[in-house]
Amino acid sequence: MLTRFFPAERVVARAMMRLSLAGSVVVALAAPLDAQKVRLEVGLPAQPALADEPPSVSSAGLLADASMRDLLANGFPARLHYRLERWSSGRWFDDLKAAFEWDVILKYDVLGKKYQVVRVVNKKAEPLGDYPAVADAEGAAEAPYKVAIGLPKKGERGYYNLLLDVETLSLSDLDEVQRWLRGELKPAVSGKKNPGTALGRGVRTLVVRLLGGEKRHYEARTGKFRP
Amino acid sequence: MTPTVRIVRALCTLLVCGAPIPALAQSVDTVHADPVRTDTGWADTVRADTAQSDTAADRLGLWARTSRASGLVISSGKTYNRVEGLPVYIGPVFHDSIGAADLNASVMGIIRSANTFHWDDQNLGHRIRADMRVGRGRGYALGVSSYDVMTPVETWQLPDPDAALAAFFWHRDFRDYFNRHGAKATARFNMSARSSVSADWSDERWASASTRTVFSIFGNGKAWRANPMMDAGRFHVGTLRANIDTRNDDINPATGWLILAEYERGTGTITDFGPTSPLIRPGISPNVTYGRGLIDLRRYNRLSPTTWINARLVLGGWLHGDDLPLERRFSVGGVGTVPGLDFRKYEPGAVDVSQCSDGTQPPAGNPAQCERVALAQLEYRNELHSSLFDFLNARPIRLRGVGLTVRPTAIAFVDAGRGWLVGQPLGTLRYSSNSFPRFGTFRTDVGLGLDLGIIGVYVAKAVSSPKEPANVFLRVHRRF
Repeated sequence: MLTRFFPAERVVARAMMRLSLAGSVVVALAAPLDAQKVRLEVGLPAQPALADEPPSVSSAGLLADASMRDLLANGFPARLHYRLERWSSGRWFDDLKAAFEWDVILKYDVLGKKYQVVRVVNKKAEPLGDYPAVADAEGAAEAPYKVAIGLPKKGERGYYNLLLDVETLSLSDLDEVQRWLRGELKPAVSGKKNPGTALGRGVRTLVVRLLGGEKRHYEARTGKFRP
Repeated sequence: MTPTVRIVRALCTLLVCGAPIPALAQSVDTVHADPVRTDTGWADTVRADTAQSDTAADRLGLWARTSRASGLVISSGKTYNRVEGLPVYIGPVFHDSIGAADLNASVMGIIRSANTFHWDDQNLGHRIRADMRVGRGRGYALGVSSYDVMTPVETWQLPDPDAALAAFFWHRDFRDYFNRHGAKATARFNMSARSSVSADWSDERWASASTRTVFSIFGNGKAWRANPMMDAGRFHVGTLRANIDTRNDDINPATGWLILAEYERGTGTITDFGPTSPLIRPGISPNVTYGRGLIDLRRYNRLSPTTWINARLVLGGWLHGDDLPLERRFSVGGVGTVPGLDFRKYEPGAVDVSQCSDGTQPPAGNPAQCERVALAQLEYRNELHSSLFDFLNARPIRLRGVGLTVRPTAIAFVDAGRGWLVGQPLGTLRYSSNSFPRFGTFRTDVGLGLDLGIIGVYVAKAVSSPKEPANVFLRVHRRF
């Protein structure tokens, strides 16, 4: 992935053309996304309680994407992996003082026709309820949660940083190949389906995989505070 | 075979070239608190931290990241290169557990896509392995394997995805390869989910691999850089390895250490010597015993909520015994190390401290010939105000149901590195075993980059060679 950009102008032109082509592939595959504003918040307690009460984490719109809901409805679980970090502001470097991780799993029980929501903290699963509607399940998964993270000492200036990874399904090599062989590539290669379509799907899959698109990563942080 | 079928086949095979690649970073709303001092008394509640990469959901089986079913699988070698194209692994796998021990076994045949999957010796291989792991975080693992695989000479320079993508898209292969055929036993103690110490012992036959007809998206008609001829022979190799990872996140680390330290002792007989430049091997003896070390030290520091400074130091090379075989030598220069320098560039008449040649025509492919190497990298990262790029985020791109939003980070970096030979001191190319080259002899560059969370675009300019033009390059991963 190395391209000299001068002195030869031809090299510039070639490089730009190649980048344009690569960009065109991405743009051509892109489609507008419904206006889904994702909101992720770290809520701090009131100033007098900063050293006594934990922060709370809430979110909205993480699973509002129609395709994600389709995956959920078809039995693919969604996992929200949270990691809240507390940093202290130092003179030169900031220090990671505490971290706390937990997961929220959403699964659709096809037989019971209900969405199950489970929070997993310290190896213990805590059911958050069963819901007939996906919106209710999302509401339960994204409701404010007080995080049991180590709190700052009084006078310790710092901030919270929240990392969230949302996965809707596992894309292991095996899964990917099996899916292609089972449903998409095999018919295309054997002439039962338009190879161009399979090619397009392949390029899309490729681009998503190259970009790490099977997992969404979100970050949010508070401003600096001093208890 | 029609071009369409060839492209479909190439894409199909590449699609299984899955590799861990950074997730997309998306900007979101944040809640800010004003930094106001309070007079309220404090109560420091002690609570258990749960920072660990092996998450509870994984442990409880609520979320299966990968298929663990036994059966017949097709997978890839997670690489793409000019000597094998894409290696496709086919064979049965077995997973089970007995008490606290997880057992895994697989018998994989390898067919390589080079020369359109031609059925010949270089396109066929295998990897058979059986291992047992006790404990998911702290614990230990034992394993044995037999293999016939193509292996990169220097894996420390560039991560697999970057190397594979450069070869597949741009017809640029930034690695050299050789064939490794043998068996290995491994014992590993896991101190945590990401830190371990291990010991390997292997009995292997090494052989050269030649460049083959391998498809690439751009520049497909051009010739590949020759894959250098390596030393061929049989070796017994013992390796001690420590991997210490205290980073808060293995994909986007903000703080912590990543340390890889490795000592290798090899003994064997070379039956065919690969060609080298003069001075590389003063005396040739088929029986060799060597000691080799490598330390790759990375430190990540957060300066403020939106700025980081990260550093990497790599020291590697000959420690004792005979000259290192060509497979175990080093080089610097190119995208993975000092990107301001062209990869494996030959300048007639100039002493080359990147690959270690005396200025005469190097062997085909300009192989890594240095016995020792040092590399230092420093980068400053500053997360840009996202409103600068809101024109991109206003209408997020959607690919197969996944919304992508850029979260830009500006990067400034400097790199310095060089390689050298060990022996009777000679100019700036060879130094005694207990001396270190002057910093003024190092190859250096400076550069700027823009990491969009999806992909990074960088410009690097060599400082040590002012006439060398600047290079533009892309990285999927962070630089380090």
